[in-house]
Amino acid sequence: MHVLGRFIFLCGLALTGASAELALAQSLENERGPLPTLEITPGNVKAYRTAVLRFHEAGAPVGEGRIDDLRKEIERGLVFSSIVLPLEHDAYLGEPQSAAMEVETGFDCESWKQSGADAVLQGEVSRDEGRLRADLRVWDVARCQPLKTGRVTGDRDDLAQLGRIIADETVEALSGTRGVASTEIAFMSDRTGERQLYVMAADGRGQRPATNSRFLKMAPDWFPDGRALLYVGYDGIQPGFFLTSRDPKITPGPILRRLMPGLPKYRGRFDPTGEELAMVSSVDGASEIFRVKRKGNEARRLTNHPAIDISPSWSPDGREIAFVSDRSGAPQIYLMNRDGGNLRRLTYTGAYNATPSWSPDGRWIAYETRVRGQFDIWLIDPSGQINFPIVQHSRSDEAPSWSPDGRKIVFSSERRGRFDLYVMDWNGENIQRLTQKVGRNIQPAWGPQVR
Amino acid sequence: MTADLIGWDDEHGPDHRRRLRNAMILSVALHGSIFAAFAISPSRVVVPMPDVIAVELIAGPVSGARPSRARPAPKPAPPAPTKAPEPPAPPPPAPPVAKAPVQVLPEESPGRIRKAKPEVEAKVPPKPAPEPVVRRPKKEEALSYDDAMAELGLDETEEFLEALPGAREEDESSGEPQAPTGGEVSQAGAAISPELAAWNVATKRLIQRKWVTPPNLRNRGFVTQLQVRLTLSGELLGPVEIVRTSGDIYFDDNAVKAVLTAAPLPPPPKPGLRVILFRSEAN
Repeated sequence: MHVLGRFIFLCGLALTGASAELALAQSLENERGPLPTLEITPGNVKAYRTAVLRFHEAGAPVGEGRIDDLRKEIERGLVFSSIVLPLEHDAYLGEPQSAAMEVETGFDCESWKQSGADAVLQGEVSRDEGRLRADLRVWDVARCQPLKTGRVTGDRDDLAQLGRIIADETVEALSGTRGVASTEIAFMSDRTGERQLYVMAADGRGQRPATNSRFLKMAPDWFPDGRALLYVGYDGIQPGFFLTSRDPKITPGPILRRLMPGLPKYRGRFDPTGEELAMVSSVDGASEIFRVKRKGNEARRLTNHPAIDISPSWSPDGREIAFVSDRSGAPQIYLMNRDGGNLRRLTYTGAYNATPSWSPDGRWIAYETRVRGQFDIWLIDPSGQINFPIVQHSRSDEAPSWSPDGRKIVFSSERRGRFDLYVMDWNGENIQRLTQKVGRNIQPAWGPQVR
Repeated sequence: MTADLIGWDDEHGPDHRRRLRNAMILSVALHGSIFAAFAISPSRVVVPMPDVIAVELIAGPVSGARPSRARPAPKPAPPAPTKAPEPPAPPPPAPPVAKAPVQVLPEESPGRIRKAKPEVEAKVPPKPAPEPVVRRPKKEEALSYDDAMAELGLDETEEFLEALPGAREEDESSGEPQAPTGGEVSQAGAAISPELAAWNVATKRLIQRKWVTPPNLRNRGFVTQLQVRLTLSGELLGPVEIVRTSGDIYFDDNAVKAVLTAAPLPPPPKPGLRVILFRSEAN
């Protein structure tokens, strides 16, 4: 009775929240007269404008020229984020050279405010056992106080990588979500004549092969900690799983060989913990989705239908799997729980929907849909209520893969005549081309954030 | 070969093209069947739901000139007390005359609302089975995300001002009061002074230029209400207080920073307390 009463009371509170507020405002009014209210809606400022100072050099200098290179790399990384933009140097009214980090005073807030900066990045580079190190301080210009102080170390003597990491840290300080300039993207390319797995920085630089064997490969996926890549290789009678890594402790080569012997394995996707793999195999002539533990044990069949079931994509919480099935007569996106239960169809528009990719925040599933003989990329929410195109082009855009911060999508597009990889903001803006080499560049997989 | 092994997963082989062609033929046939179905039983045509999820009317002192917009999320309580009538406002440069209420259409949801989905089909033979087209909502052009988001890139203040009947861009230096946009209304719905209207326009524009709203903070149904105390010269007196949080700390914080960075605000007609309401929805 008591609980019920409280419940009703709370319900009443919720329902009359508006009137409570109204009463409060009216009491204010009674005291002071009407409270003038001004309403502001978003203008056209979509990014935090940040002044990147020339970093101070401490101890063994890295060299004048390299300090400017580092600044360029940081600014480039910020531009890549789309939500933090470097302030034009011409606009600087404050001192462009960073003071040493131990100097906390003398920061000229007013000049930076007049410059139009929302934030200022101050820093100091030094060497730590040969590796580059940077100490950072991100200033909140509005409050004139440090927003974040930190230290990052490059994993090698790589100024570009250090700059990207600094940019990602700055993005995190301002937006709460770490940037992705320092992440990597894996993809398949046949630029040398045979299809190999490649890896590149998220902005397209540093493209390099990660495999060199002759057999055909496809469908790369990152291990969640970023240390290894899984792919499917056709080195024998049946396609199977392979691993590659730059970590010397991980042996590259075939994995899960004893799993379902004699059956082909087409595409594997690690669950968010990396402990299990959602995979596609073929049973009695129909592709089905399985889930298997890391060691290859406890293989469990999740779908059971004479139609084709492929392309699993985990929800970020690992509880659900999106996949493609043609059980309705045409390829459509379906959802199911991780045990195969609660199966339901998600897409009802388009006669050919494929390659679902679940966003890291769980809000969207990106997929490709065929329109007039080519593919566009759409987003649909997991309830199926909101469904809209983000990339529409007269030539195919395919195989979306989300950045780990959920702000960007990499995809493969034929818009320049052959398949190249492009990256864009999740709302379809800021499309940038990443691959320019010959050959078809397809099946991108955006790697995780690795600190 | 590859495509045979993996279904349609490897999309780029000759098999894929053949598949595309077959599927296109199938698609044409299916569309034919849709038309047939529609022709035979027009009463069963599924009417697509409107593009709007919900409409909440925000009235009162918040924004005299602007009614409400649709919001996809569960509705927060109305931020403002009463349903005040639209503010009569002076069209420039003539003496104050009652201004017609401005109709702003409810904002469209970023996507399209689809009819409740049918149950998952029972087992259907894989290939030749026709799509259950009649049960599906009719395929229609979805609202382009670009269209929906294009608005966001505009300086909506100016757009809005131009849309106002009798209202004109306020030249901040002219001193000639103009019709308000973010105009205020008293609780009783009385007209505000031209000076206040002009101050509102100038202040709104100033804060808007300082307010950082990345795409992930737009159109989220967020509302942050701040309270500030202003001196006669527009300086902030005391801290900027959050009297109502949006639930997102970055949205709240960016609003606070926008006011701090914009300060000093234009000299208000009257010093004292002000409420500034930040919404994640553009017009």
